[in-house]
Amino acid sequence: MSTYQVPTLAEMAAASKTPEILFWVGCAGSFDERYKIVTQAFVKILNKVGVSFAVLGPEEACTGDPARRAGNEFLFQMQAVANIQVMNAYEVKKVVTACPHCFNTIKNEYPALGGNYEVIHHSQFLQQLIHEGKVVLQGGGEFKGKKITFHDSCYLGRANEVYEAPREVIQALDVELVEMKRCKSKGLCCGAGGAQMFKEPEPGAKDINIERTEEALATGAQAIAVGCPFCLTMMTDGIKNKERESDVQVVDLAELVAKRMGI
Amino acid sequence: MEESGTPAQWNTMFQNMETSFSPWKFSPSDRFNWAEKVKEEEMK
Repeated sequence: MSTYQVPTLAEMAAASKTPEILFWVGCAGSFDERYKIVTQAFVKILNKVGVSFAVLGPEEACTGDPARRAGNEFLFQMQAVANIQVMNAYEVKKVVTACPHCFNTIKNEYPALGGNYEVIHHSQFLQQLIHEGKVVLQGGGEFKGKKITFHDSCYLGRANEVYEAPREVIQALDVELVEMKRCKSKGLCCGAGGAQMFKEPEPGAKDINIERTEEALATGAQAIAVGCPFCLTMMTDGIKNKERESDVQVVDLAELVAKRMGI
Repeated sequence: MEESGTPAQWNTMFQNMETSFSPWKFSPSDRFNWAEKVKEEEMK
């Protein structure tokens, strides 16, 4: 038996090896206690399937997304250029990330600054692995036959029109996918998009995450699946606010898949 | 650009990004700590 491996690009380069993909972990995936579990689940899947991957580890820095969304263009470009220099030095071709904010920024905003990569969200990567038969799902599981709803994150959904990949992943799990009243191109933000994660909500009659949580609860789902660290936080807070933690879980797609792989 | 209506929390976030390369105030040297646990785990 061997342990799970998490090679860095620096280690790979020292051994004259080039991985197929760079797994871009992101700040939430690196530091947020809850999302670190998602990062670990995804890395286990990559190990189990035998994907050739590496991470930047300590060489990774924020993509700059929240700075640009908050209007600090200078800071965004400082962060972006530094990251692009690192990725280009390692001749990175393909990037997979579990954060739609990182996904959107590296995919759509780095090319203008000299960073050109094929960028894939982990929902798309998982969907590919399932489609190719590389991920073998065991039968059963705690959500077998139960209802799961998917909350579209802004930067995966409406900004990049990735709607089907996360749904195909859920449908492969032997569960009943149920849709919220507002979904896909009509989806509603969790309240954290556009750097709102890093400040108190604007004053109003109701916080956005509460509104969105009510829509999710109205489906009768036992789990709200997400593909974004900030959505995970906001929906989890919403469920706690509604005192439904005991019967409704908020889970990331990678966690759902890893559990069904028995890892 | 001269007018400043930026929420104070965003200014803190900008400072964190400048000094720690993350919107949260964590040490950049701790960024890869998440891997320690998983690297010790036996692969199933």
